[in-house]
Amino acid sequence: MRAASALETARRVRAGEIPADRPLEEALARAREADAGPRGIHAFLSLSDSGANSHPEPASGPPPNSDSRDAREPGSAADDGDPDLTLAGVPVAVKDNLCTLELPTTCASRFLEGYRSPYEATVVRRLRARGGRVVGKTNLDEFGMGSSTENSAFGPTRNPRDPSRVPGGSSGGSAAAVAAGVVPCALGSDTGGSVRQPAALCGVVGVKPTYGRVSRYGLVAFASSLDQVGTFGASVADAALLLEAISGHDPRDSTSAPLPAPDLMGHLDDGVAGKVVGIPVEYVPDSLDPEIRARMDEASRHLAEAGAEIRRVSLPHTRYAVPTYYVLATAEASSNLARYDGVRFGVRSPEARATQEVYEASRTRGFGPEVVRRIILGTFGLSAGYHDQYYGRAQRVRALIARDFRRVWADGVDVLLTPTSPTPAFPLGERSDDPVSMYLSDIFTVTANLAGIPAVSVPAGTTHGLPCGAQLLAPAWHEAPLLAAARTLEQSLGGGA
Amino acid sequence: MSVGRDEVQRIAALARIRLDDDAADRLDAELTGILAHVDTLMEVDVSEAEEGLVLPPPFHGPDAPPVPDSGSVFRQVELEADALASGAPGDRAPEWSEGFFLVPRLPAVDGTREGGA
Repeated sequence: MRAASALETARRVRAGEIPADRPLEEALARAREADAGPRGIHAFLSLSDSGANSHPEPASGPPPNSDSRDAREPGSAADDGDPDLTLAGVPVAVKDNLCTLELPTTCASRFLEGYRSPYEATVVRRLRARGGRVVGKTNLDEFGMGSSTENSAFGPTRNPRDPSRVPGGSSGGSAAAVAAGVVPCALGSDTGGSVRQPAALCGVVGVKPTYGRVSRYGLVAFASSLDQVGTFGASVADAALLLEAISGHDPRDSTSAPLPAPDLMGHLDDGVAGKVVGIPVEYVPDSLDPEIRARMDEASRHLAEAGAEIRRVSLPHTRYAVPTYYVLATAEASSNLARYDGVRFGVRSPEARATQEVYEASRTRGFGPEVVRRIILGTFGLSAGYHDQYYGRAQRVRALIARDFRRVWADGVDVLLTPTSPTPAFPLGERSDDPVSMYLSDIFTVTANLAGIPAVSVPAGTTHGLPCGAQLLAPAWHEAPLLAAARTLEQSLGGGA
Repeated sequence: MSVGRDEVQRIAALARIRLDDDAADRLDAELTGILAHVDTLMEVDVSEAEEGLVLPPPFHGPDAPPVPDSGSVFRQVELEADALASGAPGDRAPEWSEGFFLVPRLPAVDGTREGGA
């Protein structure tokens, strides 16, 4: 049996119709079944004990990061019907690069195998404050570096729609957990498409909010000017419900915007009547798979029937987005991952005889091949003699990509419609030896990260028998109209709760 | 551009990663392929672009969030109980004392092997 929707689960728990712990216990049973055996999807790296997070405070004293919205026990007499418990009893899967107290945080890396964080990510704390329950930690490409979840040190995740294929990445475990019906919603992180692309490939909803909308305190850093926590849902409503619960200013993250959490649920049914939907010509090139083009044509027709004006627009610097992204993201990663040195984190190599050897032996042993590739590329782009040519230039092109979007919004466009991924889910192993081909999986998603704007992937039918995603993008801080458009599309395609 | 094995080894040393010759040759070929793709950035006219963004796009220009009511982005620091001092880290570290993790001593720079904490 698949998970009930988050909205329905929370309503029933608040009303006292079911015990608050039951949805978590049922989700844990589904997770074990989905991951079991050699053909299991391997969505989870660790699972909670069924009672583990019913006591939100650590047993040993006060929490290190007490939030004004402290975790509470749903279902008790005092909380019966508490409207603040928007996630009462809702089982949520959490990507394993978000720090949790009860479960290890590995980032799917040998370097952090068994690492237990002494503090909890703000997003995890907030979802528990709303009554949500952490089911377990989900698989990812090591440190978020990949588009297929094949770069996990603990083995790949399989796509629930076709287990011979990848679920996308890097948040492939979270996407697969939702697609398999284990949980109604999940947390991921999106640096270049790592929530939206796996959502598209697995046939679920994935949202990347505006840079600064959601706290990154407790998110293990990959590329700090691009990383943002995002949500998955079996429906737009479930992804929005979780996003609303985790949004808002956090003084512990200096890049968190001093804005209140947006009212997303109250605007979900606002529709698109009178809105202008732009279709950027650069995202529907002649080379685009004809089946994906057909799904995009259907999506734009549905939005037009719902009252939107469809307009063709241009974002002329789009073709430079992937190279810009890979220069900047790897440069930031090479700096962020310097902390993994065998002293502050990770298993220290016993063979090392000098300080320098400790660093080199530990890093050489601890990192997988894609992480090494990106650290080397990032170090190269920042090194003397190449800095201006690569990093400096990529920063300037990034500014032009952001300006392209600002000009389109200034011309009156409310939302942009594009494909999420240039291909459906590909077979396991197909792109493992071809980094450029793998990097081009992100061609339609990296621009939102470079410009810092919100974007969502919504299921838009199938291509070649596999799920296909439509991406919607909006101006910074406009998550509410973005998700209203996503909801319109979802309903016109017969989906959603 | 071609990177070359020696340059890959120089960059790897900067990144504190050790590569054998096979790995260096493989990375040389991969980086050369990736840089051929990256080199398309050289065609872009960047004369109108801002240089050296300090913060990502939504934090400057017309989309920037408002300055807090206090008029300052600085906040009062509220000291909280230290997580490690107030609660035993338990299985979070093999050894700890007075709020600090105890780690093995680093080998001396001269290469003398030293043990113990």
